[in-house]
Amino acid sequence: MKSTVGNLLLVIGTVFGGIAAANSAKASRWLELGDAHPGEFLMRDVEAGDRTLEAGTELSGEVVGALRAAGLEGVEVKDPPRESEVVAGSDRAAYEGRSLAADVVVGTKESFLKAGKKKFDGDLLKRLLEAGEASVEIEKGDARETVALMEELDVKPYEGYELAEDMRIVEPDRLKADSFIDAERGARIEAAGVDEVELKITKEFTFGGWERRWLFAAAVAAMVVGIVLKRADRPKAADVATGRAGDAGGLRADLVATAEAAAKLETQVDGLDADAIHTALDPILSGPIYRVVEGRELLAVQLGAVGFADMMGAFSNGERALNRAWSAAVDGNVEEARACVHRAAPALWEAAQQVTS
Amino acid sequence: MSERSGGWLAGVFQRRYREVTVEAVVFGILIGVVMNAAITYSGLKIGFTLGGSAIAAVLGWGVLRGLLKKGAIVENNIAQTVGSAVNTSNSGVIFTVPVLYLLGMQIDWVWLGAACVAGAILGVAFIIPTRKQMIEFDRLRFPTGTAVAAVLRSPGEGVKKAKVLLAGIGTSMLIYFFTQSHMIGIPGYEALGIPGMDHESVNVGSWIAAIPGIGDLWKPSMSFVWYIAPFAIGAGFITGRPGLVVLAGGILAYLIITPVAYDFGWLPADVAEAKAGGWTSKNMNRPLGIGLLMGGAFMGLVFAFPAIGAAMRSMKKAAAAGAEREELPLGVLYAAVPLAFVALLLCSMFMLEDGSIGKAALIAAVGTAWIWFAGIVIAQCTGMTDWSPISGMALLTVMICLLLTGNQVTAAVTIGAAVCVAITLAADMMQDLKTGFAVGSTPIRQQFLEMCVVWIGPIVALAVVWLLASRNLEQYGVAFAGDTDLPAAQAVTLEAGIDAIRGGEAPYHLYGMGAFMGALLSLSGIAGLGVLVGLSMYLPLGYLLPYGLGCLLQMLCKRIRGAAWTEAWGVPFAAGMLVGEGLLGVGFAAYQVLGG
Repeated sequence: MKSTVGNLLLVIGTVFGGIAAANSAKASRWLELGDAHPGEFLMRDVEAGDRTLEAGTELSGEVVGALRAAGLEGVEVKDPPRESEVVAGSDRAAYEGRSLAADVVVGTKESFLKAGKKKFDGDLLKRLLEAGEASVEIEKGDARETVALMEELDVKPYEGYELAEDMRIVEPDRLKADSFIDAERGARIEAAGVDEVELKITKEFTFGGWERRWLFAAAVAAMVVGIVLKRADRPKAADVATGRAGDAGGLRADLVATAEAAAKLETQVDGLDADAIHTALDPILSGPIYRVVEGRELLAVQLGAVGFADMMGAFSNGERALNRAWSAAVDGNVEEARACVHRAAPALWEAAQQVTS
Repeated sequence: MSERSGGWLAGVFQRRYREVTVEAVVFGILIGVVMNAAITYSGLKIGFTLGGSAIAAVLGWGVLRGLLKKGAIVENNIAQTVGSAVNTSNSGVIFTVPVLYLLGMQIDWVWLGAACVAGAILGVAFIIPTRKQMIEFDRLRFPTGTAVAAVLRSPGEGVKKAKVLLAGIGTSMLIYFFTQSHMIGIPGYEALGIPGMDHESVNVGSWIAAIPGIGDLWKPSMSFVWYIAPFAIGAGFITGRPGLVVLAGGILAYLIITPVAYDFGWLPADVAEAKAGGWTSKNMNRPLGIGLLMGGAFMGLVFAFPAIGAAMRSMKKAAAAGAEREELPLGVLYAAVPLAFVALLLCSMFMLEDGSIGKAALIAAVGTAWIWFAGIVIAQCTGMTDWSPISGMALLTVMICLLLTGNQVTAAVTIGAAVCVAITLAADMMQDLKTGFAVGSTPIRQQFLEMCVVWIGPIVALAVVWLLASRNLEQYGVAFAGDTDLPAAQAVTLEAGIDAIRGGEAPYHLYGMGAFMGALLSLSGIAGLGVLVGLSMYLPLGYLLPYGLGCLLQMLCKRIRGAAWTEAWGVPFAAGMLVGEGLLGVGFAAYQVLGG
């Protein structure tokens, strides 16, 4: 019971904790309306009486008045209020160390477009037009066409067509949006003499601005209670997990049975050939030994970390030796197979003794 | 010469049973180099890499047993261990190194290579003491390792089981083939004309939305796209009940948090409802998931200390008792750590703009400690689910290094590359050790050989990256992305992450909240709970759904046919499903390398 409730609390805590944590990254915040909020912008469309105030509308005195008149005491505003700001291209100190919100052209570059590798689509058309190309040779299978380039050209009929000839074009060299402007990029922007640079404004996390922090705290509390209940009920949980509730002795019996089977094989193995060893090993490796592995969690609880490590170390040595004996027997190496069985049996006995003593 | 008189090294090369042989090692290195080069190229092209263990195992049978007529099961395990050790580091390299090109940074290949090799050695060395705890005590499933073991054991499992394994491989290949067939001009699933289905996924959400009466309740913000991924079903089946938590975390992220965030108006107004999943994934769920993963892993590690300590004591006890040594001596670890630290220190000093020894020492120390921790995290994730969040760890690593270096990208990415190489190899080592356990290989032999060859992988991957970048620079003027045929998608994502961190946009508060919750979940006593929930919030739901289906199928199978039957017959089929997609994936990668 305790474990079931603990599980439930863990699930509830994780779900609500995850939701609350996600809330800390939300792109808006709730603003209680005052008189006017210049520099704040509506997150989404708001119905204010008979008019719709569109997302992005600045909360001027008039807009706030309309919202109040519609009975609203607060609205969702963008956080941060603006996603970008524009600074002069000559003001390097203003943009270096920040990220671009939009592409900036910093010169020209020569690009190589390889025939047969470049699809003729809208993006390529735009690039070729920017590069001042008047026409292009394209092909699809045996069909080859020369296409005159123009802005209004519909590229849909050319789906699947690729460049028919290699091209070298000179096109604008852009620093892409989201790029961080380090010293080298800053110098390139400055040298290009661009008029304006649009920079990203990023949201900074503040604990006070995290609306669902109390939900997170409650979720964590639920998780902690769940953990306490689960750990208090751990031995029973292990029983249930391994399907052995009330059968703690069963695992010991399986382990002893494994050790006995290995010991029995050890007494016979020197008289067996490879095929016989292989045949004899199959039931040992797929029988009680498998059940011991499945039920190890119960043994871990009962033996403690160190005791479990000692037992499992010996057991695993024995199991691996049996696996090796099996492989050697399959490969027809009877001497190795026998040697491994001789090694496995005492290791498995050692493990069995650890749980029976 | 007896093993005792010759020391542990003589034991590695014992001859009574074919295990460490020249043929196995040479084959492993050769296949590893070929796979590494091919997968590095295809990874830069398609954006993800493929594991090499299964391929090496299958080819190993063909070459060692088929052609040379002498491959033993454990010998093939050694060949596959060597092959995947040489191959695996490519994901660590291609997720990070191309970023230096994309950001226009100077690359010093010698120091970069030294950092990656140091990372490779550290990754393997650090994971040695945790083998007993993860594989023998916790019995983590390592689905790929289990699947490879099924392949290696198939000759002794009888004709029936071999048929089941082959049926799994065939089924998987058939299903997966039509997700890729468009590359060779054969129509795929999209040709079926089923609404919501493209060549590699099915939007089941669109079907639900079309059901009269129920459809109105289905929100467009709820993502319910299933990737057609038989390997995920196989991995889920092998994992079973514990893997269901992964599905639960995905449901929390994509079917609870996303619609709640959208309906409560937490997203920017210009984000359409159908795009809400993408926005929340980037800005809410993934950062929260990474935090949960790290917090869960940290607490899990604290709880695992007694077991790790007991495992180390048991190793020492066995050595003192004169038993045949089964693990590399801890002295190897004690030697590897300072050596790798010095390598990272020198790399950092060289890469840092001011060459500060103090700062370099701090970075090297943090990098070394981080490799240990991150390696265990990734190995745990791989062991529990087969998924490893390498890209997330790469971003976290670079973020930490950027903070330590004051935003010096070259140093941060170099250490990031070393860490990524280390953690991929740590996970790979554990997968191979899991396979080794199932076939009875001796861990010390696998560990020793992995340590011996692990340096090859980063050098091959770096050489391929350099060659491809040089070719593209000459032809296109840029190394990756742009108009080249190598989009390097993971590196482009990391570049965006680096720009976001430098621009002050890293969601540290979400990492923190996630870490707190992850630690709490791991306190619950349910093994790896925090890690699993975090991992699933990070991964795309499209892969989690078939994975969860696999888990459910295994539970159903156990209920109907019993645990022993499921293990004996269900797991080989699932192993085939896992291996089959990998084999065909490599086939398509090879087709791309050859100019397809």
